[in-house]
Amino acid sequence: MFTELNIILGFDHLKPPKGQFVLISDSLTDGSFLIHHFLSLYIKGGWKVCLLALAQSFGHYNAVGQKLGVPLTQAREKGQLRFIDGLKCSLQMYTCTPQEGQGENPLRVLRDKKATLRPLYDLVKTQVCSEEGVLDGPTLLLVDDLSVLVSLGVSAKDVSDFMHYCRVLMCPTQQSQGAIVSLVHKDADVEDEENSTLFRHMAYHGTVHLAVEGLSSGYSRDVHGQVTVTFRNVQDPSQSQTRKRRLQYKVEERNVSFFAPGTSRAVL
Amino acid sequence: MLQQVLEGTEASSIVVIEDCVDHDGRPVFHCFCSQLAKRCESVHLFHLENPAGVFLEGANISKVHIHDGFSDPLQWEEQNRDPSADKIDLVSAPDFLGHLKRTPVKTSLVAVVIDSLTPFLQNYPGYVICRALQRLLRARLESDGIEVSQVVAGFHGDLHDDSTAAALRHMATTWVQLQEGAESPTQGGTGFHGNCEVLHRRKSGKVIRQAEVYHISPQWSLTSRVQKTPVRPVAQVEQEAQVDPTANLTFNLRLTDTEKEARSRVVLPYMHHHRKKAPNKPAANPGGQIFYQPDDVDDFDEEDPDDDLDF
Repeated sequence: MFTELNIILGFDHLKPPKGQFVLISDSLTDGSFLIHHFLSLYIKGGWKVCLLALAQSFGHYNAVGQKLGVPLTQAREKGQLRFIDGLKCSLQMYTCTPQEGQGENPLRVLRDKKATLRPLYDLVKTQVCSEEGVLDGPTLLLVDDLSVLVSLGVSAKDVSDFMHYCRVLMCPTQQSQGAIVSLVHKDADVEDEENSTLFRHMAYHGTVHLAVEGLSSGYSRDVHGQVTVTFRNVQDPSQSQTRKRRLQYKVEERNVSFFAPGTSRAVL
Repeated sequence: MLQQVLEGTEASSIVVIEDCVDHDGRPVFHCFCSQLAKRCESVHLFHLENPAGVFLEGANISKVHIHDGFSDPLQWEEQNRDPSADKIDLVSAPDFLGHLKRTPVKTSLVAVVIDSLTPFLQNYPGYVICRALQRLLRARLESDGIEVSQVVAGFHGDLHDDSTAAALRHMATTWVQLQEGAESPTQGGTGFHGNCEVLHRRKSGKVIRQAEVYHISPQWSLTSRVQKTPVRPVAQVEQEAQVDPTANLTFNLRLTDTEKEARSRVVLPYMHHHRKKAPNKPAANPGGQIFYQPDDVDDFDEEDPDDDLDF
């Protein structure tokens, strides 16, 4: 459990916070360890989790989850974890013949330029909502990751409309029952206009932004990178002005340790 | 200037607040909402990016009419649609004036607050939005039953291209561009503060561009002042730095007075002097003289070739 990160974010690991839109961005490094962190945090907190997986298969999340002490297969059987296999859907879209038709595939937009991500939104809604169409208790929507959609050809506008509707469904205000965690890649060495536009759209929606990047001084064995936490909470003007925090991290076998810059165990 | 526009002492028909990811415009927007609710008879809030509650804290809600573009802008939620509620949908072209006319309570002077223009600009080109905003401002009490005193719109500078920004900037009477926040907190300790650049166009034609510092109190009231650049004693430093190069030398570089006078009288070569003329050099006269020595092969014709021209 990433206790230091939880303390910085103000997240209670026993009662994960509601109404948060957490945006994770990574640049030239892999920020998916934070996805696994939030997945395990919210499952251990007893929330219902809907995982929209576009980058990895279920087996991957299960394997990492076991290392973090969260058995995902059991959670899925119990119904606590709803898994949407975006990888399989996107592959089906590309390999199906026109005779079979797109049918009910939620990622119809990959082949049909006139379509939007509305079918995907409808699928997410059926997974997280009860019959009345409202959220069934505290629910987390975890999207891993949005840049895959952009690289498959979906326009940044369609992805941002989809995430807007997800936000309205899950966490329109800070008092809502739901929360969203999503990952967008933001590689500094790649000039990807669509991806940068998508990142900026998501940044406006988000309440917390975690930017993961490598150290500017290069590769180090003891410090794998740094995370900059930015709070975009503009509700309360009497809040303190320190809205940005920087942490360095090291990825270990079963944990990731976070520490203030310069206080790595190798240095002290 | 920002404070004057907010309080209404400086008249401005369209105020655009340009923000970016790093410098959020929502606190300034919130201040505009609460101030307009105080001084206008009615405020129409078109909210598309945030729920209405974000901007209405501390404001007089009875004067605010909310037009919801947040919950279902693209009409994906078929079953939950309430036909009586006035919702903005991005499927049809933006018509702000139409929404205003549909509200049951018609007061004469209204203010319109739009958060933000980005969803409209994503679905329609810039000129359509500009036209819709112009129609808002041209509404008259006699013909449309409503008159708009001020429009405040949010604009995300990093999500749109320069041509859209330029078109909106041309239309706006006040353009507030939010910049880097102040480094150290103000004496008050709490509240938001930041820098901005305000471009204000008066009806007289005068354009005022100012860099300002603004502060927002916990009660959502905004104060601003012009940012003064620090005055550094630059001139004195330069004077002190002038070192006399002829000092501290082992040889003498200074001139006595007679030597200075002799130096001023030295005749420089290749300069024209009227006192002394070399016999070979031609006299400098304004007309200029041409000396033509024809060669053996030259056919020098005394006739003027332009003689037969008749104008």
